[in-house]
Amino acid sequence: MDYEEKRSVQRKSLMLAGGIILLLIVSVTAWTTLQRRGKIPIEIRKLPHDTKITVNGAVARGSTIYLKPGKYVVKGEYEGFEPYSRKIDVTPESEIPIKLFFALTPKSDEARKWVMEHTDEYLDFELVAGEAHNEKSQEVRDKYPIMKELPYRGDLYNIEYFLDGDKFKVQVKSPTALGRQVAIERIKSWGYEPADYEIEFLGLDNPFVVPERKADNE
Amino acid sequence: MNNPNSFKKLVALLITGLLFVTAVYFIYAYITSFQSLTIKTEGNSQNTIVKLYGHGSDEQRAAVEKVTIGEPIKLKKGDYTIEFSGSGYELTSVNVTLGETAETVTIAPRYTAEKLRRILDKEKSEIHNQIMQQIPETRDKYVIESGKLYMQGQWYGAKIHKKQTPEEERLNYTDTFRIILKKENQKWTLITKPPELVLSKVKYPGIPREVLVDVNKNPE
Repeated sequence: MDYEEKRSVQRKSLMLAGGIILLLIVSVTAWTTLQRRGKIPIEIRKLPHDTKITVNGAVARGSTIYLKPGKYVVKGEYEGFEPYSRKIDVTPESEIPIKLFFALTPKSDEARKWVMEHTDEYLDFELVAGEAHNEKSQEVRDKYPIMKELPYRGDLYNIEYFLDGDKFKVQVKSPTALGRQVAIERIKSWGYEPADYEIEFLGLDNPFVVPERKADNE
Repeated sequence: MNNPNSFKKLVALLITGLLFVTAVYFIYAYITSFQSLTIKTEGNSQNTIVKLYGHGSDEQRAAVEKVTIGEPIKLKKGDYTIEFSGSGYELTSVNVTLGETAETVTIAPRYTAEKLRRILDKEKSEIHNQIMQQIPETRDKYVIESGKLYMQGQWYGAKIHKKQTPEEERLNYTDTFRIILKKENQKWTLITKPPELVLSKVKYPGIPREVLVDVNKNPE
């Protein structure tokens, strides 16, 4: 085989190899795209880095996993550390990507020693998790937009709110019927529909709630 | 690789492979661009018409008439409007977006105001009897007013306030409480216990929101 022939064979081999690689890339990309259709990305950050993550019992690999809408239990485990679980509800309306943080608590001496040696990583982790918490707080404010108007002090009433986990209620404080009615009108004037919220009227002695009926209602 | 024919065959095979993968991708993408929609109705829906309109191109905007209630239909993903109409019914429109998951839309048809008034004339006595049984204070100390039927006449909402003389009403502003009853198995039952100043969908998720909003309005 002379030099020109050798060059020609080399060129053809390279083109062939390139074509096979291209085919593989296109196939993998198409397959990955199709696999992820309709799924929501979940970013997982974990300490220690080798923490085993399971989703409804099945091992999940990688720092980003893709889940179809539904309810899941995501658990992080690593030897020497307390396991930690999170329940998540993945919906098409979820803010993407969903971010989950697993900074496991050490329980063995070895694990504690590891944490002491990686304090900086835990601090960085807390910083990022804190930012995510702020985003979550914004999510709560977005879910209950009336919060931005409260607390509000009127002449005859006060309007505040109570938030405990997922439980949210508006509290109207007024000793008079007129004050309570004006407070309801105030809520409507802000553009909110009272029927959309649980409203507690403090200072109202509901005449239809008698002690024996109160016990039934509770 | 000295044989040019072998090389050409390999190149042809590669191109075929690429075309095949691309074709599979587009065919799969096309198949999955459709989604299932099921339309259901609550209560009686005889002699009614359900139409479906797509948003977007002229073709999509064409109405699909005689949609079969309860049976899934395959449509291109996107935005649609479902219209429900019939004699004695208010025209009802519901918007739906078909995305990655199958959708079931349940339409709650509403009778016209006139039809509901005629039904209330027949039911009022029984409704008030039930209210007085379940809220004894309404027999003498409280007044039931602004009672209305909603939807297909199975929901009744009213306001109750303390009985006062016109002079007392002028001097004392009193609380107005709200109640809602539902007719099930030919019997009216008080759903909202106790009567409250504002009825909430958080506490009563089974009551249609539009019923709660209207009952919460101030007396006219």
